[in-house]
Amino acid sequence: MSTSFETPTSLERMGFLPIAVDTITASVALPFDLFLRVDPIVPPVLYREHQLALEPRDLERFASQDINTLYIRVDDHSAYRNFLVETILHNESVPTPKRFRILQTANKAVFEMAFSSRSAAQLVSFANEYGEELVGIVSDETVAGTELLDLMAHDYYTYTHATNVSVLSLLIARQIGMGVRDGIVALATGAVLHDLGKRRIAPALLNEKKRLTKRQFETLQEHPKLGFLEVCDRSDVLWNQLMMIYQHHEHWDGRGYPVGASGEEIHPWARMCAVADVYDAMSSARPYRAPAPIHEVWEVLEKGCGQHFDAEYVKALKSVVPPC
Amino acid sequence: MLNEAMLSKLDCEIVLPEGYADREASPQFFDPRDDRRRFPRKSCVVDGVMQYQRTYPWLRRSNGYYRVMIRDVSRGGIGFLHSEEMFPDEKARFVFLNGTERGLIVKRCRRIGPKCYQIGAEFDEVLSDLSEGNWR
Repeated sequence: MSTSFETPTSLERMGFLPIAVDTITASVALPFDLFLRVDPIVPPVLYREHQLALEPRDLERFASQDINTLYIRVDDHSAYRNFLVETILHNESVPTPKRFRILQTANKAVFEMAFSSRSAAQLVSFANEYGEELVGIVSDETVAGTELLDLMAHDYYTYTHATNVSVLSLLIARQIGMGVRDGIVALATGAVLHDLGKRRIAPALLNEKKRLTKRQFETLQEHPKLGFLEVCDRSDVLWNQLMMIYQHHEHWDGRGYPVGASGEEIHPWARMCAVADVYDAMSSARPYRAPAPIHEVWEVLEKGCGQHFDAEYVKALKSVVPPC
Repeated sequence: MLNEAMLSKLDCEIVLPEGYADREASPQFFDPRDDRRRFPRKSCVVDGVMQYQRTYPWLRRSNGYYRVMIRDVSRGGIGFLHSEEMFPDEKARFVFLNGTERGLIVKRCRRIGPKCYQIGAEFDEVLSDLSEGNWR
């Protein structure tokens, strides 16, 4: 995916969110004001007031000038999401891969803002909305897992990892026959939240390039518990989702953390999440290493069957995203 | 008030893993050199009784009493073995053999075998000292 975003922090302070140009459909009235940044040192300027539409020639102009990013006010992000749902995400004439790509690019800034906010409420609300949209796309069985995998980013952004784990968990769930009645939307949401506790770990430690000391590793291992504590009292987080947050580093053989639970003591959703988590962590870039070649990822997953992972879920993932 | 006779009526459901079967000789669970604690811990092997306090609506807990095995104690809390997993910040009440009751909040839980979990919990109030009247 080539679309890139500025970090939301400086813009956010000015009250703006970046959005990708290709999420705007021409000739449809916008329910929000749209801004363009002509000079990187001054705030974005109004380009199109709400209730007006962008014309095809506007989009052509942006393309010719290599403008990929526009801006909306932070307060308008719900209106923007609704706009996307109506014009793209629920529009079945838009090909599924495009809907998936738009879903991913459109949500990045909102996720990062929610992830950095003090309360978990924003993040839970984001995860619920995202999970629902994602299931709409991933449950389209005409879209192959490999196709989605090709569209997924593999950079080191919390957003990328959270949403990739959600996609991969859904692919596993779809493969084992889980459907909407079995709570597949909640599974997608829980997967987005699985690393919630990392918000409480110092970024310097999360991005440490050197080998971690024993104590640093112990601190890092606190994140499932911290995530659990942050949302355990919320009525909009289900027990199954809570277990994804708390148990996604448990191993089938009991050698994981935080508890050392084993086999079926680990919630099935957490077991799916564990497979998805390792697959994405290994196949994506990290500050301390390049992405592992896909055959190595599969070696680790297959060797880990019955030790780290539930073999059933590794097999399920392999049948939707085969090694080559 | 809890006494030896009452305690003996409660089954201990903990299944000690191999290497822990000799209760007195079984290994300590903590490193006495750990400097990240407010209060020093004292090793012990003594039974106590625990009762869950309703903490999480999604977690079904029996209202009954459980016989647990206390392994260490400090002014701030205790480490004990229990037959069930407990969750972070879960609340319980503890009854010691001398009848003293203390509220507890779970901070750590580690499985050391099937039906054997090592729980680290804080007292709801710090003990004034570690004299046995306070906890044993």
